[in-house]
Amino acid sequence: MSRLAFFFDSSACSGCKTCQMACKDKNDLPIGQVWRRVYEVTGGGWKQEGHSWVQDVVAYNLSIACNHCEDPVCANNCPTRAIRKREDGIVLIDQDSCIGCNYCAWACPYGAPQFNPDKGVMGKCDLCADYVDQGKNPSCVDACPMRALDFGEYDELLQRYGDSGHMYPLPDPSITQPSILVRPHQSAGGTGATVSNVEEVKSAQA
Amino acid sequence: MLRRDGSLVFFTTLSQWGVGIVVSLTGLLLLPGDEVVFAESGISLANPVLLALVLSLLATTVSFLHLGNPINAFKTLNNLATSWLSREILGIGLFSLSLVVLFAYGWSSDQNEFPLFLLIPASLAGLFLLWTMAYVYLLPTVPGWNSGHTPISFAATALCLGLVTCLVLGMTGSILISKSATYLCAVVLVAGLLLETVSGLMRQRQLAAMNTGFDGPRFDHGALRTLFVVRLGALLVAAFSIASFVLLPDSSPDLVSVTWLYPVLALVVLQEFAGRMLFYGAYFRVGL
Repeated sequence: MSRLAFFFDSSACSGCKTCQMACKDKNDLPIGQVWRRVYEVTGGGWKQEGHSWVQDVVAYNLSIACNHCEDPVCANNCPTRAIRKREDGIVLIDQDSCIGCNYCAWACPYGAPQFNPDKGVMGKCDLCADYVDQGKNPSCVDACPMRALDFGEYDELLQRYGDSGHMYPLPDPSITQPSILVRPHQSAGGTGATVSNVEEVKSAQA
Repeated sequence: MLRRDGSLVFFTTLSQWGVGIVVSLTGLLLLPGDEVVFAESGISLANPVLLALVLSLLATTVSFLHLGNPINAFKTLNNLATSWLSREILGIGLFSLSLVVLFAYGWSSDQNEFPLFLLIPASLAGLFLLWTMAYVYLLPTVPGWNSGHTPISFAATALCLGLVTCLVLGMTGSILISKSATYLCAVVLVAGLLLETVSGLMRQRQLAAMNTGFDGPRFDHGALRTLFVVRLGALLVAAFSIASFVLLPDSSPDLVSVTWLYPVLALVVLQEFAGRMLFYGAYFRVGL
C-alpha cells in the first residue's frame, strides 16, 4: 500500500492563500468552507539584552488540509464507514453514505472534515483524487506561486526534503500519524506565538 | 457549545433517564424480600417500563435532529468494529427492544408483573448503552471530555434520574415500594447527587486549568460559569431536601406520602439538563 503525502515549506510560504482559493475553486466549495486553510502565526516583540533592545518577532504561515493520515481517526470513528482509505493512502468521504453527524470532525485534530450545510454531509480534501488518477498534482500544489507545497510518495518526499519538524500549531503527530512533511520557518518555536486569524480559519469548523 | 448539540443534550439525558429507571427497578427487585410490587403495567406513563420506553424512543427521535442527512441513518451500524458511535446506536436499539418485550409481557399478563428474567437483560442492555455512550466522548482530541468524569457523570445522571423517578412513582402508588427500600433509594439518591456535585467541581477545576490553545479560555467565565453555579446550587438543594427527610432524627422514612417530591423531581431533572449543557460546553479540540 503506498502512502501519498503533502510537503509544506513554511519558510517559503508568503501567506497569499492561493492554495486555499485553488482548493475552493476546484471543489466548488460554498462560502465558509475551506478544506485547505492558511494559519497566520505571529508573536514576539522587543526585548532588552544588556543595553540594547532586540526583536524576537515570530511571523510565519502554515498551510494545512487533510493529511491523509496513516491512522485516520475520522475513518475509525465514522459509524457508516463513509470514510475510507484508498490503496494509495488517500482518505475519501463517500458523501452518499455520510449522515452528517460531525463525529469525524470531533475526532480529527487537523480540522479536516467540515460540515457542508448545503448538502447536509461532511466534506474534506480528497487530495484531488481525480487529478491524481490522471497523473496530475493536486490543485493547491500547482497553484502555489512560491512552490511551498509539494505532493508525492511519503518516502520520496522524505528523501527529498528530510525529516519533518513539529511546528506550532500542529498537534502531536502521534495521534494520527499524518502523511505530511513540514519544513519549519526559522522563527517557528519562538515565544508567545499564536494564531492571528482564528476567526477566519475556525469559521468553517463551527 | 456547538451549534447542533442541543439535540444531543436531550438524547443523552433522556436515554440515560430511561436506563436509570430500569436499572433502579431491577436493583430494587433484587433486594431480599418483597420490596417492590408493580401496580401499573398498562398503557400509562405511571407504568415505569412504558415511561422508560417513551424516554428511550423520544431520545432516539430527537437524536435525528443533529444529523445533516438522516436519510442515511440506517447505515449507522456499519462500523461496529471500530466506531463507538455505531456501538452506541446498537445499544439504544437493544435497550429499546428489550423494553418493548418487557412492556408487552407486562401488558399481556394479568398480574402487573415485570419478571427479573426480562428486567435483567433490559438492565444489561441499558448499561451497555451507558458504556458505549461514555466511550463516544472519550476522544483523545477533546480533552474536556476525555476524562473519568464523563462515565461518572453519565452513570450518576442515570442513577439520580432513575431513583427519583422510582420515588415519585412510589409516591403516586404506581409501584409499591417498602419503607426500607424507599429509605435505601433516598440514601443512594443523596449519594448520587453528592457524587455529581464533587465530580462537577473537579471537572470545572480541571477545565479552568486547561490549555485551550489559540481558542482562548472559555470555561470559567460568562454564561457557562453562571450555569455551573446555578446547577451546583440545584444539586445541593435537591440533595439536602431528600437528606433532611432521611437523616434527621425525627424524619419519617415514609417518603411515598411526601408531596414535595414533585419539585425535587423537577429540580433533579433540570440540573441534569444543565449539567449536560455544561458537558457539551466543555468541547474544544486539540490541534487546528
